[in-house]
Amino acid sequence: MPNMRMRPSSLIAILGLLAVLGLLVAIGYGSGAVGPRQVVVLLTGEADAAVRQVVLDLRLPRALAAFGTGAALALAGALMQVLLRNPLADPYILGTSGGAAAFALTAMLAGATGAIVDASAFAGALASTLLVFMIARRGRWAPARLLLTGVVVAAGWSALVSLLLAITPERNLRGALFWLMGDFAFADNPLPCLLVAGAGTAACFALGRSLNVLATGDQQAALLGLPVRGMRVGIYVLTAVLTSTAVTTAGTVGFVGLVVPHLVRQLAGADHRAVVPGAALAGGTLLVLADTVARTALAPRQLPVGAITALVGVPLFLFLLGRGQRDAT
Amino acid sequence: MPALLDIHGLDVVVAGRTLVRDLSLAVQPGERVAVLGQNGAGKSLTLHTLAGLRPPARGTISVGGVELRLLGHRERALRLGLLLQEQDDPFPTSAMETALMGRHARLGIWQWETAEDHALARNALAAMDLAGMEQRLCATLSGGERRRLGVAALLVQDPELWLLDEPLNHLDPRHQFTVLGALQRLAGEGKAVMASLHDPILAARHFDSALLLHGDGRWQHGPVSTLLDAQTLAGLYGVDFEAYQGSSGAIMLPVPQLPGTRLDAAPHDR
Repeated sequence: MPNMRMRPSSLIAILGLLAVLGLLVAIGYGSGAVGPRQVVVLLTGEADAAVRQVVLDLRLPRALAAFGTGAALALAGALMQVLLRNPLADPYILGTSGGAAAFALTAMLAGATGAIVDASAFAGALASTLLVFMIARRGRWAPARLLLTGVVVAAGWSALVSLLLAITPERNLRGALFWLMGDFAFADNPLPCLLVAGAGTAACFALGRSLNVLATGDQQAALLGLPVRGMRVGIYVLTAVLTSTAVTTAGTVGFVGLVVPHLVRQLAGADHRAVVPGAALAGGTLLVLADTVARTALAPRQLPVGAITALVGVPLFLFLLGRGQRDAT
Repeated sequence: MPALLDIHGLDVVVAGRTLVRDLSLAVQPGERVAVLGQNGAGKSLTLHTLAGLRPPARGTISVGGVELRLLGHRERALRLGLLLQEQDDPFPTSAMETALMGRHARLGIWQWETAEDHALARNALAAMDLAGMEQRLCATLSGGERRRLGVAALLVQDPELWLLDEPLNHLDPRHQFTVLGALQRLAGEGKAVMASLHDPILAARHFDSALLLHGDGRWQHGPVSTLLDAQTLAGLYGVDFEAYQGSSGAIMLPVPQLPGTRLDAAPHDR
């Protein structure tokens, strides 16, 4: 197989440009009467208050929230893939998102708000990750065992979320779709996920060489001088923070963490100094565009963005699974 | 000069079985030690223990005069390297990137590889007859090429103590000499080498001493010239050996003893 790669710097530049374009598209299109032309007028300085309100108060925060969520999920996926040395790992498939959703929902039902809900989501994500990783790592390395464990745990969380929603007396919580499929209809504050995704990306980019070494396996990494245990614990925690922030912003959006790192690795190779910023930019852009489709495809009806990402993610997942099996035989 | 590797009273235990008992051994700079034994005798576990990948059940290990357990992660990687028996590559990593990882312990945590590091990696790949394969993905390399890439990464790492778990696996005769030649050069530079292998002929020709692991706790260590005789090898492997005279001295070959003949003689053993 020839090894045709883009230079990481050109890939990052292209993805950065696409991210800006994606955000412009997202604020230019919507279900209302405000279109790209009014947005251009707004950006050049003169627009009436109604346009200003639609674009700056409604579309821009939602687009930025989608960007931050996509970046966080793509980064979480890339990190889980390093921990498990398996390109099929993803926070949604392995039940991390489901754990965060179930814990967050439980906290909300108990009357908690704000930071307590966020902390519960984090605890759920961490607990779910540890559960899956502990069961999957027992005995010899087996990708099928890992995926099966993750899928079963994810199904369990999903059932628990459905149960919690069914016994909720009033729909004063966010809608069922939010927790099961992901939806940006309630994402009005993009700041937490942008901050978490930005800080996570910066830290992982700086530690990119260590991530490369860890990806060679625990033993090989220790032989190369890496403090493996500390590094693993740090990544577990970071993955849980990224996933739970994404879930409290947008519910459980699937497959971004699977699709995006895979594509970036195909384009730029496995060096995490390219994969990390590339995945964050591409993941953010993908969700911004997916959410724009979700808002506009059947406007004024809104589709859950998780359904859009699943339509892309499921075929790719099956393709990767099939290819993995062929390689193994 | 102190021993590069000093093993004292080492036990290697797995699942309650003592594979190696009370091993004491000093390896000097410039010495090459062949580790021989049957499958499952504890060769890999012993090498892993010496590399610090698993704690010794008993005993102490010192590298360059310092106890292994007192060395930090980086310090260990600077002093010793181990070629693992197997290495898989789930991500699209290139041969060059894999070789460069040998520099990890020598670079600062935020630092990127320099042109000098790249030159070192290229030279190491060339020394392992992998020149021109820098951009090949590891997953596309043959078993023998991947093996030589592992040795190249160790050349880049450049430790004092070289531990190698079956470095000659998958290698054709010419490339066996590529690796054995590199080990000879390293010994000449004052490094110490300890490698497991399954070929008593290559052990006798290319190593100074041999460590025989019997798998039940017993071990023997001595110069290859006196230790590797037909009787000792027969005791080690459970098959008879006889000496053949070659142009470069006597070599030990196992006497053919295929399972089929034994089953014919004792069919009830099935």
